[in-house]
Amino acid sequence: MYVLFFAALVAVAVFADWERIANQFFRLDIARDQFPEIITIALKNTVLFTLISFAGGLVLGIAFALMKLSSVAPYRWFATAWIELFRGMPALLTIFAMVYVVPIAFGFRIPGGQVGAGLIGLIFVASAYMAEVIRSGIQAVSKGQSEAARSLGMSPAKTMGWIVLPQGFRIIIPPLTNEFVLLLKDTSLLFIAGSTVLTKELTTYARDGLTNTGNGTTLVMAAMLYLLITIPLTRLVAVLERRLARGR
Amino acid sequence: MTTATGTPAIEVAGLRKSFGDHEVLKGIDLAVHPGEVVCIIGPSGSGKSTLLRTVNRLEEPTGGSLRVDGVDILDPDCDIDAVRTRIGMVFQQFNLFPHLDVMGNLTIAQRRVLRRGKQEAADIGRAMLERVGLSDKAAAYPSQLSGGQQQRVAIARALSMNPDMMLFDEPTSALDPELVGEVLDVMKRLAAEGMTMMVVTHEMGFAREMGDRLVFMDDGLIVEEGVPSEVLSSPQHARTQAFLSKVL
Repeated sequence: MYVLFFAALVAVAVFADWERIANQFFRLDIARDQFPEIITIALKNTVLFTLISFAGGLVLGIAFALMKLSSVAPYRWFATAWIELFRGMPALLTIFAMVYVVPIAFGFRIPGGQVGAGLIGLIFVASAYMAEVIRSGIQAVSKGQSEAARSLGMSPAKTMGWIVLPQGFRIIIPPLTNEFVLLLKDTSLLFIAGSTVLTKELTTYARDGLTNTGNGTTLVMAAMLYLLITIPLTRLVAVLERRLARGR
Repeated sequence: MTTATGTPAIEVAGLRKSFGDHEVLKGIDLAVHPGEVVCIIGPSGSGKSTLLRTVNRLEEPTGGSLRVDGVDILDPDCDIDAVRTRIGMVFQQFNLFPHLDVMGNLTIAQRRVLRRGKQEAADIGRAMLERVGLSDKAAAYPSQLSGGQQQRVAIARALSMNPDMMLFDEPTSALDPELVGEVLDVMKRLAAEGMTMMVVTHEMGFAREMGDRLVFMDDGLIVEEGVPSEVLSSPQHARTQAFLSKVL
């Protein structure tokens, strides 16, 4: 089994033009030219856009999760429609619509210009996914918990805010982390909002770099910067989960 | 023992409860007077837990009347959350809040419902922990405690609201046999101090020793009630006899 594998490996090592490959993927002189913009603009924007859409998606997601669990039927219908719509459509389509159609159709300017509009689209998409995750977290908290809280005189809202949600969020840390990483990468879709020099995020920056230099160096750098965020993040979440484990 | 005069702490009349087509309570009349300890026994499915849970409206009765300290708590204008702060409840499964440490469990409702200050709530919490003999566990999380300790914390949590009466729903049924005693000891001390108590239990020893009255329920009705020692030694009703012959 392994013979074939090693044979292939050797063949690649011998016949590949290593210098050409290295030159296409990484050239130190091009890499040097990217600083500081790739950090101060591209990385900063990627992180900023991710945080904004995650926070916005979380707030809306909680609202839609609560609406979906509401005893008021129209709330449930609205939340269900929202979730199905924005989860079912490609994120790119939603962003397109928010950037180019909604402002004209409804006759108002979304703050933050086209990127702001694109971010709102991303928030809507994130809220649809997160609403379902949050709902599952709420439902995973045993009924005895809210009964205990209610029997202490806590109102339904206080019971939700102080007892059920804090426990639900502990349960859904893994899928929420997943959502964060997905959003981090989905910020690259904002390129269709027509980035300016100052609103470029990593992928747009890297693609423009490819166009300008005819070389893949900026792509490799962007890839490394994405991993520089995601890998420590997942480690951090693992630590957080262990620390919260005693409160389960 | 308290004489049955004045306004009952809990007064149930013609109380009915159905789950769908299934009628669990078929017209219950029962009064619990201040300082009285009423124990409720009966086979599983007899409706004894449901009766207890309707008293603070964790279950909504489908018929009959329900008064606490003479106030009709089924009145739509009645603030049930305020009523519940005066009725402590202890559950079979403890239902401690796992995301909070013991002190957090004891203070959250004091602070969020009774609006007590942090210091005051903690002082009361510590006093109640001492009453149940767990002063050294204030910083522990529920998952770090034995079942018996958890149930004693649950009792302390209910007591920290300074309730006028306490409901116990099979408080020792989920405990290992060797841990039952420590919980019963706490309950006995409470009873001796004059707490009004309604206790659904299988602990005939507790009922005999501490109960002012013993109520036997079967099939959604009170079959027989009286002084515990008399009911236990010479039950009048055939169904009571059959039940006691199996459990004693």
